[in-house]
Amino acid sequence: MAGEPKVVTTTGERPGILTSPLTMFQRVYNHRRLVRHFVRRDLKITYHGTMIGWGWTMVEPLALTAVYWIVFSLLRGQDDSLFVLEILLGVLTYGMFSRTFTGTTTAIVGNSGLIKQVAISREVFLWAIGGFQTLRFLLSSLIIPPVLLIMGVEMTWTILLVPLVPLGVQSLAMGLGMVTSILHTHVRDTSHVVSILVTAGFFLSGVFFGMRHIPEEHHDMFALNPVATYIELMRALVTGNWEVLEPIYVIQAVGISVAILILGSIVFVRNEAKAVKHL
Amino acid sequence: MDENAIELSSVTLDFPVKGGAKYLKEQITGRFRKEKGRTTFRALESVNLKIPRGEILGIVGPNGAGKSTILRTMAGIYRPDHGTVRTRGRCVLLAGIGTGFQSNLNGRENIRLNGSIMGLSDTEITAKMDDIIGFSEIESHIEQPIRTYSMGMKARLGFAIAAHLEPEILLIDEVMAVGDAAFQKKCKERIREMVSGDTTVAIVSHNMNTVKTFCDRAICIHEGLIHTSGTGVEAAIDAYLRILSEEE
Repeated sequence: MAGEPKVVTTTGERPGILTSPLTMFQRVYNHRRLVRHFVRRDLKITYHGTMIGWGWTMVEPLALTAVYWIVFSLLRGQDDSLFVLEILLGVLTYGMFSRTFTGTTTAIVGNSGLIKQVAISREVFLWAIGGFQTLRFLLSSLIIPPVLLIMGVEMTWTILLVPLVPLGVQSLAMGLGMVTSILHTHVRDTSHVVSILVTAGFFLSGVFFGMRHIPEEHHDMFALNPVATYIELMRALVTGNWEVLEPIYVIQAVGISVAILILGSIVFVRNEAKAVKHL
Repeated sequence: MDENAIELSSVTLDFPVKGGAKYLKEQITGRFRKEKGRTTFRALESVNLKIPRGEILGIVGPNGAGKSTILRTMAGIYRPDHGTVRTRGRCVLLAGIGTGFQSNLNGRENIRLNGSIMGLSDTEITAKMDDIIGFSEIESHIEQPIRTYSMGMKARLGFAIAAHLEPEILLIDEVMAVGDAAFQKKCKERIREMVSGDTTVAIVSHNMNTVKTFCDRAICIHEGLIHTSGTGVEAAIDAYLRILSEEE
């Protein structure tokens, strides 16, 4: 026998501030299958028709690293053998952050056609972007062991913890994206502002320099930028060198990221219904 | 026992005027100009409507009256500013057939993605796959990327997916005219099948013959207000024609 039909009641009342984060996670959990479909779709269409397919997830960061290495080693006369590896890890981490942040910012406006035709949770679009970029990062990370081998850098067990880095990075990127995706429906300039911020962030987050390159008295301030800390964390996990990265910096970055994710989910859940009317 | 499939109680819905100020300059200048204090447009005003289970309701009215908005409010796409919308059972909106198709994915992959967007489980999609392909009449192209399809083929595939959703509540927004004459006939037969059972249906249409043929009852909506109620479809059609003649 078929079960009772599902009763859905919709009112103008917005979810409460305290319950909003829970509401978001509940909606995403209920639509996890759809998130998976979107991630699979993005993975297929992003590399559709290319000769090396997913191989681009590895070639792209390697090529970028080569460009930055040439430019910055020429500019700074850098002779550090670990410099290439540091840049590569910075490119991988910052690439995931920037693509997720810019992608989630335009997620609602970019899917307006679908949003106006089908009643699905709008969070799904943001989480699908987060999921796809995480997967892309994990695929890209497969180049790290061969690079270490080629460079003759000893591998440590902590490299196995690299897949945990996206948890922090994506919490931050998606939390920010949840706020900017709502703003973007009201003010379309938001995506351009985010683009500028992401470019500025690239130079401020230590992609092509490390914490060890700046004076120790500035480390506390530098670590206030969670992305910079995550890039340092990646470097420490891969090389096993924990000399400059204090555990408190990591705790601080995770704390900021989680707080921003919670704040972002509150802003998103309480405002998405109104935002849809601006599409 | 409550037999209403859809209930709208005092539903009011406002939209930002002209979609709101989308660019920063408009936001700033708009704030100082104030636009005579009017920043919203009332799309629905204190709408009360009950649609019993199994009823086929026609919604008529001039352009911009609020017909599609009321349908989207029932579907849960728009949340009312005031009032309550209550639906009982899986609710599907047929509008913009094929929305969400990905041009680089093939027909089969798009059925899977679109079916999932429309709320079907993976098992349901697998079970219905052959029927959907057969109904769409594009078997020979199903493994090709959808970018190679004609508009008619995309519309047929879109309708075929929608026609296999088996919802308890079906909301139709002017999607009867898909494909050629033969396929349109097939669509109408399929919709007739879908509405013949317990399914509750609301149809928005400008075609009075469609409303007369399919509907048990109709309402006329104008400027966000329901202008008619009661039984039958004639009163709503008369009200609609009266509004049109007054506007001319």
